[in-house]
Order: sequence, then C-alpha cells, then structure tokens
Amino acid sequence: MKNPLLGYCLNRDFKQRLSNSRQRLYRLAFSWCHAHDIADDLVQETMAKALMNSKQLRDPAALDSWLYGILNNCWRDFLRSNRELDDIDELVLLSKDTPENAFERQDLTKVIQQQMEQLSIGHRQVVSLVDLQGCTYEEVSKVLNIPLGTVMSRLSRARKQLAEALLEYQPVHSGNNNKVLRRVI
Amino acid sequence: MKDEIQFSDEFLNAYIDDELSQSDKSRLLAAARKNEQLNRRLCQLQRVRNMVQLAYHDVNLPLDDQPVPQRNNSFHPRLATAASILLLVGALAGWFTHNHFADKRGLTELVKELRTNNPHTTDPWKLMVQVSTNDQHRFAVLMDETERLLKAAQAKNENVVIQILANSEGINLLKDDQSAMSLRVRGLNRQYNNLLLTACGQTLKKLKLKNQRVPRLLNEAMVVPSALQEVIEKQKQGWTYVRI
Repeated sequence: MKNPLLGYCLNRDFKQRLSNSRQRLYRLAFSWCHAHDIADDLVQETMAKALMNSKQLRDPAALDSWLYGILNNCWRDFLRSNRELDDIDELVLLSKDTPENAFERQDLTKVIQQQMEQLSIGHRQVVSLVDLQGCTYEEVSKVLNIPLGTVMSRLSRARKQLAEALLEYQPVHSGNNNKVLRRVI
Repeated sequence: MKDEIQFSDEFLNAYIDDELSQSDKSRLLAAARKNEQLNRRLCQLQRVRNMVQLAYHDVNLPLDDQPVPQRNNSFHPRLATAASILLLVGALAGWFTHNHFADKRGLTELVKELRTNNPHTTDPWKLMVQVSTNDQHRFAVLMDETERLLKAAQAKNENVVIQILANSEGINLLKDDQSAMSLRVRGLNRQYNNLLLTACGQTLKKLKLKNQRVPRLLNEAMVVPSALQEVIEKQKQGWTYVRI
C-alpha cells in the first residue's frame, strides 16, 4: 500500500527544489529574451507548468534539464505568438541600443549582452545553456530537442561570432592606458 | 599549421566545455604547447565563455520574487559550479591534472613559457591559481609547485607574484587547524611576501546560510567578496589564471 506521507514529502521536496531553481531559470530566460518583464513571465509560466505536470518528471535528478525544456517551450510559444511567420531558430531580435552607444559608455556587460542579442535565437539558447547553466552537450540536445551535432555546430558558430565582435573590444580605463582585456597565456 | 587543421572549432569548443575524453584532451594539450596559434584559439574561446558568464552574472530575480533561504536549503552542484567560476583558461586548465605532475615541469616551466611568449614586458608576472576541490594531493602538488616557482624567482631576482584563490571545497587549503598543510601554507606565506592567500567570501557566506561549520582561516588569508569577481578583475588587470 502506498504511503500517503511519502507522496507529501516528495511533493514538498519537489516544490522546494522548484523554488531553488527560480534564479537559474530567470537568468537563462533573460539571456534569451533580454527583457526583465518577459523573463519574469516566462519563469512564472514555467513554474506553473512544472507544478501541473510534476508527475512527468521521471528522474528527479534531471529536474534542471526538465525545467529548461519547459522554459524552452514557453519561450517558443511566446515567439510564435509574436512572430508567426519567422523561423525562430534563425530569428535575431533587434536590440534596443546600438553597439556604438554601449561602446561609448564603456559598458562591457551591456556590450556582451548586445552581442548575444545579435545571435540567432537557436545559437543564443545553446550558448546560454552551456555557458550559464553548465549543461552538457547531451543535456542541451535533449532540452532543445536537436541532434548533438547541431548543438556542437551552433555553439561553435555562436562563439566564433561572439569572438569576432567582442575580442576587438578594448574599454579604456580613466588614468590607465594599459589594455584592460588581454590574452592570458 | 598541421595542428591548426587537425583540430576543428567544434573540437576546441568541446575541450573548453570538458566534453572530450582524457586521451583527446592530452592530444590537444600536447599540440597546444607547441603551437602558439592553436593556443591562441583556445584562449579566445575561453575568453568568450568568460565574457558570456560575466554578462549575466548579476542578472537576478526581481527582489519580491527572491526565494527565502531555507535552513536545509540544498546547494545544487551545478549552481556551485556556476558560482565558483570554474571555466577559465582552457589551454592550462587540464595541465595540472595531467600526468606531468611527476615531471619536473611545473609552474616554473609554465612561467618560463609565458615569458617566452611575451619577452618585452617588464611587468611582474602575476599568476592566480584557483583551487576549488578538497583534495589533499592537489593541495600538496600546488604547494610544491608554488614553492618551487617562488624559490626560482627569488634566486634569479625575478619579479613574480602568485595569488592562491580558494573557493568552494578548496577553502580547506586555508584552514587554520594546525595540520601539516596549514603550517606549510602559513610558513610559505611568511617566507615569501609575493605569495597572496585569498578566500572566497561567497563560499563562506553560503556555508553560514546552510548552517554548516565555517572553518577558521589562516590570519594571512584575505577574504575577497567573490571568487568569480576576483578572477574577472584580475584577468582584466592582466593576471594569468590557472584553475586546478
């Protein structure tokens, strides 16, 4: 006979783990959409769907990947509702600020985020999952439902594009003429 | 040139992301040692990865959405991974775990190679070594290598600064517990004023949040706000970074 207390404890543990994932989900969502309000909505929707479908999570250890998959679906739904005719993997959202303005402000973080926005969504998602969430290629493949080879090629192309855009960037510190970013080995 | 062709971008990315087998890693590292161009490609990829992490490091939930810390809040290993920087300087990262530990080539050799790459600078060589695991063997090797380098630099009157940055479980390296390792770290720090000992403040904070025992650190160790921030800042200032 199934112990009802066991179900309660599992449920409580699940909710706790879900709550602990909010920050990670929010950062990932923001790295995809670059808008705080949209990221917040996406996380809320992801959490709601996760709670409703908690029984679908067969391996509790895979909670993060499972949540990233739900977030991905929410993000795709959002994009579809806004741009029905575009191939969302190839879609590049327009940034609100120009790179020149950001360069002038010496705002490295802003510059990097802008360059991330210049990546197609499919490329950006792979970079975010690997670099920000520490996902393995296999996990990314499952979360985004794309072949492993596609994960590798997207990541490679995305980093190449970022390298071309970012490694030329040399902010100047006031009173210090030394290069701020330099090769370390 | 041959190595350039041999290793695709996908292969180099897989190395940066720790997706390669041990044998492939060894093959790549051996080639990178001899091939400056290959080394540069690895560094560029690693820098891009660092920059992406930097760009989103301070992206946080709106304040009213922040989860309340729980007493038994489990700390997911992947979060620890992200929080403790983990990801820098590909060409050197595997170097420490490679079989060359038993070899005479150590940090001294590394610094020599670095000097060769940039022979015109008069700046001191500034090397940051991050330790994140509680592994006595690694601690011992790290201290051996550090001592050898400091001794060699002193003998040749060369200007070298080494900063040891301990975070996550690596914080145990800087514990003041009167163990042999503790005495050794303290002794080396007193002997060489160009050796800096630093501990990650975030790690200590998280231990407190989880109600775990916060180790008493050596008086010589300085606490920095966060390992990630420290690594990024020091890299910007031109420090060479190695994680073991």
